[in-house]
Amino acid sequence: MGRYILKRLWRALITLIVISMLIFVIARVTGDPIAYLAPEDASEQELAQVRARLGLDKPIYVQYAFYVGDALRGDFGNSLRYNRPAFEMVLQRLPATIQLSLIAFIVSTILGIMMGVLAALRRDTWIDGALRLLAVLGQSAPSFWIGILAIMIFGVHLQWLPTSGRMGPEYLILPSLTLALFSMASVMRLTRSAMLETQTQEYVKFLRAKGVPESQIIFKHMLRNALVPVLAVLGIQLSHLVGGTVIIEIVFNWPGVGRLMVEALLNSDLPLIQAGVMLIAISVVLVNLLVDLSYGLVDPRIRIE
Amino acid sequence: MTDTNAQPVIRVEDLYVSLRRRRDGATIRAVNGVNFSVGRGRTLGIVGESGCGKSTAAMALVRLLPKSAEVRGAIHFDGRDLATESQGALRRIRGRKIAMIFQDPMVALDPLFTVGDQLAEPLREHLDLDGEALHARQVELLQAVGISSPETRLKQYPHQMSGGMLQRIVGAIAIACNPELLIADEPTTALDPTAQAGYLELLERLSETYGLALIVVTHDMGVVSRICHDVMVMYAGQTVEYGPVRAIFDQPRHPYTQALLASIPHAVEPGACLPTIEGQPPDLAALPPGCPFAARCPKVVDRCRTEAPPPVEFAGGQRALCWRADER
Repeated sequence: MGRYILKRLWRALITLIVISMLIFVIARVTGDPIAYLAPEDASEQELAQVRARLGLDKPIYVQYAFYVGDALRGDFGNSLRYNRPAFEMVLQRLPATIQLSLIAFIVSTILGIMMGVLAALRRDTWIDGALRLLAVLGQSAPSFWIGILAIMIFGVHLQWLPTSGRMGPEYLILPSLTLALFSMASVMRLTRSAMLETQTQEYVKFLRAKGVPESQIIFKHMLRNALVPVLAVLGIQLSHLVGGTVIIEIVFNWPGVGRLMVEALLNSDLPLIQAGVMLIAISVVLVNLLVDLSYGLVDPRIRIE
Repeated sequence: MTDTNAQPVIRVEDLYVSLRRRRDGATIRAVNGVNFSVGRGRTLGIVGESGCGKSTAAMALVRLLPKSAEVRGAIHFDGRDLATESQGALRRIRGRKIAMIFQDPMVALDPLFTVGDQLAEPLREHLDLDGEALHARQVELLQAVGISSPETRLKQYPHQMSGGMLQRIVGAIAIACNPELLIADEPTTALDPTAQAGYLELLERLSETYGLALIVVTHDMGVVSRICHDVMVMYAGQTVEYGPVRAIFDQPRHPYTQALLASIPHAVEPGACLPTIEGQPPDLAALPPGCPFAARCPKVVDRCRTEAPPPVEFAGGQRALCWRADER
């Protein structure tokens, strides 16, 4: 297990270094940063001064070293539009996004697994049919459309729930459920097929031959085995924790990282974009690391080499 | 009946099993009127080619069959008729009085649980063992099947063990609750010859040591000659021939048994072609009238195609289901 963890940590580190290089390079190929910073009528001499002050006259690897040094201290420069530290602005938006996506993740995981198990156990009955239909709808309907539909039904017609902003717990319900629908559908479908696959395994037959009660066979043995592939999909979904809520945040006017990123893009606010991309990248890498480690908890074949 | 010495452990009378085929909903008559019995310390081999109903017949004893299965007949075991027992009652018999092992010991265990866990399950479930007593029994069982350092092995996972060790662990799980009957369904099919020999030896030893009645389902006549006392040859869900192994190997009465024995590779001279049985077994959803083997039988006469043959009894408990069984 120790070597496994070390290997994953090493890979995570490499990934982050590569991402930081990409962000650095992209910032440098999208145009001369001086063009944003200096007044339009500045002379060549003034431009050179600004360059020297910002270190942009140094060789590119020296610039990268400066950039990494700053980034490690959380300094991505100030937002061009708001003139406030970009990383701080992104961090401020982080709780709203994590709240939204974490709730959606929990709901979709619990409901998805429960529905998947139920559908597998009731295979080819109307229950299975209804659940599979729901799953196909959840996966094929675009989330902005579901979101707007939910706003129309529960916000406008029934007036049960608020549809815009983040003023209290009730504001979370519509956006988090809309967000949950897609991943719930994929978790359900995968759990169903994984459960059906474990049903035909030899060890299930042997468990029956041992006289183990059916409930124990299903929930102790089959479910745990079925969860191995489900865990992989959950990991992918969890890694969208920070970056995957953009559309929902816009539809429900949710003040999270995603909406901030869209605004920054529309304003060509490069420091803000860089800080946001870096934060999303870090969250993806961290979550993947946790998911890799959790494999070891479920599957001894990974834990013990 | 060959086991005249004592009350048999299990006695099956007129067993019929039908299943519904998922593909087209047709009713499959998988087992059609089978009779056999096995006594303590005796081994019965059930042989036949794939799809002849041999596994279904064996699994029907504890009703480990698809939900659509219908079982008729009488299965006398331990003073009751298993054919009429509920699934709940059968679950308490499975693993306790009747143990089963299947094709491949490499995949018989759940990869996510330790060997100890999986050995503990029947002991907890059927014997209510716990704590020290449970542990002591686990160690005792692993020692009984010849596994060294059982303490360490109990904490290990299936993927940490060799195939030979897994065989023995499966054996230990099977005998955990001192069963009276052990059913081995194709125990050697997935194994290489060395592993086969080891597994058969283990089965034989367990049967002898614990006085188990053993039913071995196989398509391999070699396995039958190696460990069985009696043999039941099945074709299209019927017992075409039944009797002591020696008698049947010496003088097979049914043309199907004769063909099976002729196709054992050891029995053929080097360089000669291996005899095969032409054609396919009949569709169990649409059995022909008369003898089901008629279409492939080298000795077929007109009568075979229209009239079902009666069982013909021979000295020593041998019987065969053929119009021409008593011809030499």
